[in-house]
Amino acid sequence: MLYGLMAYFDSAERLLEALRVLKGRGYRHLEALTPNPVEGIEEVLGGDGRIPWIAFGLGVLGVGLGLFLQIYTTLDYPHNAGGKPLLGWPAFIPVTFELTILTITVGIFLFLLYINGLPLAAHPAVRAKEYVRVLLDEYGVFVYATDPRFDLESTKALLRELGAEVEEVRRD
Amino acid sequence: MARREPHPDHDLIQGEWTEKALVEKLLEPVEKPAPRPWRVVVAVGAALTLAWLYGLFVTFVRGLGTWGINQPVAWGFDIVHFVWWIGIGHAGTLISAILVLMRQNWRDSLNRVTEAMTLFAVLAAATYPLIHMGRPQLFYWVMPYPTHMALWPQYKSPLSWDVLAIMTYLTISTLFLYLGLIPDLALLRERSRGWRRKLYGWLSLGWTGNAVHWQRYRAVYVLLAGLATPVVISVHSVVSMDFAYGLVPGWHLTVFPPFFAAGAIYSGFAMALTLIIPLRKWYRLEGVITERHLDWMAKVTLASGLGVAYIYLLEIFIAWYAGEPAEWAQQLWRMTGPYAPYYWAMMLINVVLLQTLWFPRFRKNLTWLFIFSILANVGMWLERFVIVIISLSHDFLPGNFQLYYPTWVDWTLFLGTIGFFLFGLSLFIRLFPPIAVAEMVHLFHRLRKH
Amino acid sequence: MKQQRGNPEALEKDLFGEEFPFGPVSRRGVLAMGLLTLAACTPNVRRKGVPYVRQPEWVVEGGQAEFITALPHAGFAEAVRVKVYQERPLFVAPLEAAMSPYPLASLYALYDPARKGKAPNWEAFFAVWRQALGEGETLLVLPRTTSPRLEDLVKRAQKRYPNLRVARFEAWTLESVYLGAELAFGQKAWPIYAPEKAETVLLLDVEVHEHPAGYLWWEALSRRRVPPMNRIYAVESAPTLLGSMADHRLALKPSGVEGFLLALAQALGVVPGAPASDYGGFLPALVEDLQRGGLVLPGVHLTPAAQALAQAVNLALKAPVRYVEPPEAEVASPRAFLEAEGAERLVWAAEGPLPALQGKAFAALLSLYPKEAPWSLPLAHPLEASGTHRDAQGRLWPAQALIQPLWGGKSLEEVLAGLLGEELPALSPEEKRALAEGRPLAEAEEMLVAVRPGLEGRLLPLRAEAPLELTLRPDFSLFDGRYRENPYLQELPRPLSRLVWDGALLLGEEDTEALGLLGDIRARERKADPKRPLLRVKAGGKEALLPLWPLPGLPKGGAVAPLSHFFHPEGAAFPAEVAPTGRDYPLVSTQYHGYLGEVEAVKVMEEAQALEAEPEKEKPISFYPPWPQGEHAWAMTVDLSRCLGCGLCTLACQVENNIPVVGKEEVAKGREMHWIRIDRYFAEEGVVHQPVMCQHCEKAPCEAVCPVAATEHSSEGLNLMVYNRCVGTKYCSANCPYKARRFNFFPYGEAFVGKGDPRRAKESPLALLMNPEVTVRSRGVMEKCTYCVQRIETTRAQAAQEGRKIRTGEVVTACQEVCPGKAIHFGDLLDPEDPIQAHRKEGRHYALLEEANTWPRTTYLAHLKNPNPKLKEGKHGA
Repeated sequence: MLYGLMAYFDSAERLLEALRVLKGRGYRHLEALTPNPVEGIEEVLGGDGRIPWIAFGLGVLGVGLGLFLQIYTTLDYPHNAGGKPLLGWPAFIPVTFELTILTITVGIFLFLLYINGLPLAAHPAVRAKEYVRVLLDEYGVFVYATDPRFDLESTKALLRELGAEVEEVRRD
Repeated sequence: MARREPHPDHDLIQGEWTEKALVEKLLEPVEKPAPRPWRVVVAVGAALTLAWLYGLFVTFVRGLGTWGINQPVAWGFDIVHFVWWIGIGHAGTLISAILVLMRQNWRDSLNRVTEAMTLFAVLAAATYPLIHMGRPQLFYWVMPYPTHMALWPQYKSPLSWDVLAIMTYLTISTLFLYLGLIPDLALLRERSRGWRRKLYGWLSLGWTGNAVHWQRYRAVYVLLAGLATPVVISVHSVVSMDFAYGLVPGWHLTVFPPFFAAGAIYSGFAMALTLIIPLRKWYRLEGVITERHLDWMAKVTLASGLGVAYIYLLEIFIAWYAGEPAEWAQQLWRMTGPYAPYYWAMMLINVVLLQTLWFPRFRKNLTWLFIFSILANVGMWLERFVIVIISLSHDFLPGNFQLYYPTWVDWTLFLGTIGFFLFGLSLFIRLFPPIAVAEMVHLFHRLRKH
Repeated sequence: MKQQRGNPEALEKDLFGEEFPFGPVSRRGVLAMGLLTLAACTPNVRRKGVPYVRQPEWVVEGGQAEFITALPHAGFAEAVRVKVYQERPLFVAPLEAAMSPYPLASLYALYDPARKGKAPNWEAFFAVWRQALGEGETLLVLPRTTSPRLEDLVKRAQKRYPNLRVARFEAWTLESVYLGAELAFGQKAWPIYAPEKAETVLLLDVEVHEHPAGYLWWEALSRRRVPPMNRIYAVESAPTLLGSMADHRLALKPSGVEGFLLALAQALGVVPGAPASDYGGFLPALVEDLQRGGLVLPGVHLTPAAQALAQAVNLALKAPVRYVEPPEAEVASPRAFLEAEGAERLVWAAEGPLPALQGKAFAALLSLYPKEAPWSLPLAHPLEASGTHRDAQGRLWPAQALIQPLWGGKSLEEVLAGLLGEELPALSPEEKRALAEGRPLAEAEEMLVAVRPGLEGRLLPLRAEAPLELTLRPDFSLFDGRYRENPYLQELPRPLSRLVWDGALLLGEEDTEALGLLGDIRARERKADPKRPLLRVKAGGKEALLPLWPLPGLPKGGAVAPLSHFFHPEGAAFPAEVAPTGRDYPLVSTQYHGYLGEVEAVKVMEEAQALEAEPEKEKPISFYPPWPQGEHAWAMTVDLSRCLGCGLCTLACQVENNIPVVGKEEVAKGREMHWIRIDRYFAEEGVVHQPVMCQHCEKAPCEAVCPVAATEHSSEGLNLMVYNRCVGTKYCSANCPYKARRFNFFPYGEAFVGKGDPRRAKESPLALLMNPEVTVRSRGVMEKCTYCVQRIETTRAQAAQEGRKIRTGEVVTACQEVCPGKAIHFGDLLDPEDPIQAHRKEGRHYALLEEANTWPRTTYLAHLKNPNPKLKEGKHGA
């Protein structure tokens, strides 16, 4: 069974160009696979502005957690430690700070995994024989066979035209 | 095509490279048979780790009495080494986080190994507060959980802050290291077979290199860098508050947080140099870890070291200026008491020998740089010895002054953590590339295809 | 009226028949059964410790009782109150003014399993003894005894067995005192001093533990160490605790001390002649002061001639001293040791050094602890035996046994009665009444004495001068060696040297320098290296190896060796030679730094200054609002002027609070567990002492840093330590400016109870020594002074039961209870009646390390000196 086509480009510029063309032709079901982040890709494939806001929200949650933890535990079992007031807020700063950071860090990492759909057990592009090239030095576009505009021969030709080496990815 | 100006950092990767060759080179430590020194280091590390386990066994079975601590020196090598290791950890986070934010290209070839260094240093450090407790089996009492005693931790204690600071630090440095590793893990997954492929497969979480993922990844990476930056400063500041919160002459100083942060960066960079100089030689990484890298590290070492040296002198001034007899007595005790050799050795290394790094002749001399990096960590060890032990041995009432003598268990536990650190780090670079492949290739692109 | 529900017998049979096969169960039966169950848990211990099965009426489960008895130390009674907790004597406090540490420390010996030897076969022993008496002269060596009943038994035994010869041995003899009186008055007499009545007191080589009345003397003297003050002069051959309290001190060799006494007698016109020297103005000033109501207290080891001079001086001064019959019927002296060594048949019942037993036809040892001997039989512990003893003032006290002998021991009276085949009578009604009322059976009979003329002609030669004069004086902890098995005393730091577990040869710094050892010792001190040079000491034809401990305050050419380590049967002072052996011996002291530097830990003031000084009015500063105050505000004051530095508080605290002894090695590492540490400083004004324990700071630095809230503050101002919650980070200790906290680095408590082996703690009878009101701390937890919180709480419970408030001064801490100088006062700051209010308003009141702003509840009153204005400038020795 055919999964799709894997196209290998030798530079990021070519990749961007190809993506623009493919998008222009109405291809929707495709993925760009690159060895490192490519500048300008968000213009083509769309960016994700949620991360800072999520991080901010997690930060607020963290501050709340930190303060809650300390204030609640202090009031739940009040005792006189060194004659300091029960809610001596200066002493609460470090823990609040650390818990804020901890909450953001763990939360944002889990969020990253979530929006990227990771962990992922299998991916059709990985079945490409030359797949490792896109992890090394080349830029790949994987066009799914399920794309409505997909046609094995014409898509292959289009990709070649855009300067790519093309490989058919099938289930063995 | 007009010849472009070379990238200002073009010499960060030296030699004629292609991406493929570069990747092959960078993956050598993982994929090629290990060089002989690696085996020696692993063997030594493993032996010391075993000794460490024995030391821990003795500590747990017989009690803290097997250590040299006493009244008044209730904190001895345990806390000295805790602070020492935590400090060493700082270089990794600093290189990976702060230098990312500052867009320093030279960090790319250093961050992985230093982050790994951070991880193992923090792990080594974290053992000390656990084992230094009289009843280590009850360590979880410092965590907030509902107990039958209806008690909670006491959040006005710097030790409670420490617990969370170190947990946060460990978490964020582990995540940071792991996040950076994911693309490399995917690459290794594709290049290996057998158990390694399984291991990398699981660890890479199915990373495909999706360009959209990369964008989000980058955003999170920079965000984490931004978060790790205050953490790296805060952790040692919190550690310093263990002392600054106290009344002991020699501890009770508001200057401690920046003092400790500077000391941490200093010792961390020194340890990074100690590790990287031989690593570069054994794995022939001169092309990617260039003399310029080392020079930069030496400069950071110098800068942070100068901060430390400044505060040494400031401490003397404050002790005199404050007019507090106990403080001044403590200062004199450091300078003339039975521990004076330790104090003066610290001053010699961290104040006098440090000045050699002003001169390019010394900075570029790798032998000296290597020796100095080791000396600097000896110096920082001495500093912690001075702060923790010398201060405690001579506090307010002359009637309770008492000296501290470490026992073989203390030394075993120290050498053991060094062994654990080396052992862990060696295994790490055998399993994971010591230089971040994806980032280096990216840098290579930016430099060459500018 | 008893309430009954149905037929009790039927009910009980029905309900309990199966469980309790021995028939109907009464209320007592249930208790007895409970005890039996307990006995089944720890059979070794309970069977012996709790001898009754049927509960006596007065025993309250979990209750405490107090008994009065007299505990002898070196033959002299100390009248004490013994706190008994379910038949277990657990604490000893002085009945009257003061007591020595020995009765208190002897509680350890009571439960010590090391006392258990082979099961004694007394009848066989008596048979063998009688057989030996039949064969020839048999020597019985008794220790100093002051018991008339024992003397009577001795007399009757001698009548029955003409071969029984009796000698009295005591290494530290009082012979000189009696002989001195004989020289002066023509009859033996025992002087009883009333130092509280004297304006000026001259201490002539007196140490507090060397005289049976030493602690009483300090109690008396200390009353006048607060304004209006007496003035104390000390002329002594070794630094002593009492001497360190003196306003003027002169260090002279033993011969010099006697020379000084002669000069004093001459200056006062007691004997003709002119003083050879005025001792740099010291003598005239002293003479002037003494004439305004003075008293001379001579040490018991001065020669008889010196004793006679001292008594003559006292009579001339009309000093507050009276004379009674010597409390010993026959003088115990160290010479009996030689007699014992030469005896063919020997029964040794004395304490201290042991004679050689080889080559004797019959040799038996009667001792508290089993010894290597052909016949070793256990003596009863004083708490196991009744009897009568005289105290230092000659009064006769009854003693009652408070516990059955744990290891089959017999008292000396019982031994002699056994030899005679008699039974000792039970306590007489008079004795019982005296015990109940807490008074002596009989007062001493006073003697009227006068100095017979021509004293100067009868004066035997005073002590001769030698280049190095060695005095053998009883060790503060081990006395003459008799307390060697007592770890409480072994680890009680010796005054001034603060040495534990060892005695040492004390030598002045100049003499040490002359031996070429001072530099080396100072270098080792600096490194806290415990090794000290071992010296070969030759004196009076005997030789001993002793480690050297240089001590400021010794005269040049004077040395002191502990009697426990160097015994000589012929006397106490000898010309001596010392030579280094080149070998070292570890000597462990609890304090290495003896100088205050710029730290104002101990304040010393002069009387006039103290009267003028204004009490501190400045309020302590805090950003924080005050915490709600409880019903009481506990606080303590320590009057350094009345503190002798003897360490009784340390010991009492140790016994009361189950504080373990940790051993020499651990002390060497600086891990002693005493909750009260006595800091000793060599200051310009002399030696000063300062007991330091938890100060119960209102702004306690320790509490704020505990991550698990194991130490916190009570509303009544106690700094509480919650052992259960402690995880042992030791942060509190590191942050305590007084370093008053102690950490269980090892399972010290269990090891102490198990005699070194923590795993044997549960089966050791020493577990009975542990105060059940106080937790025995486990390994890895912090501990410290609690202000005897258990006493506060039992008092509170008692008051609540009686429906009243706690009375002023009702809570007494262990340290306060035993302090001979009454230096420690525990009280309630909210109680306007409490004397602590006055203490806190005194001009000499201060808080230790006030600059740390910890607001301690334990505060100090400055040490006072009352120097003679005429002597201010001069320096008279250290």
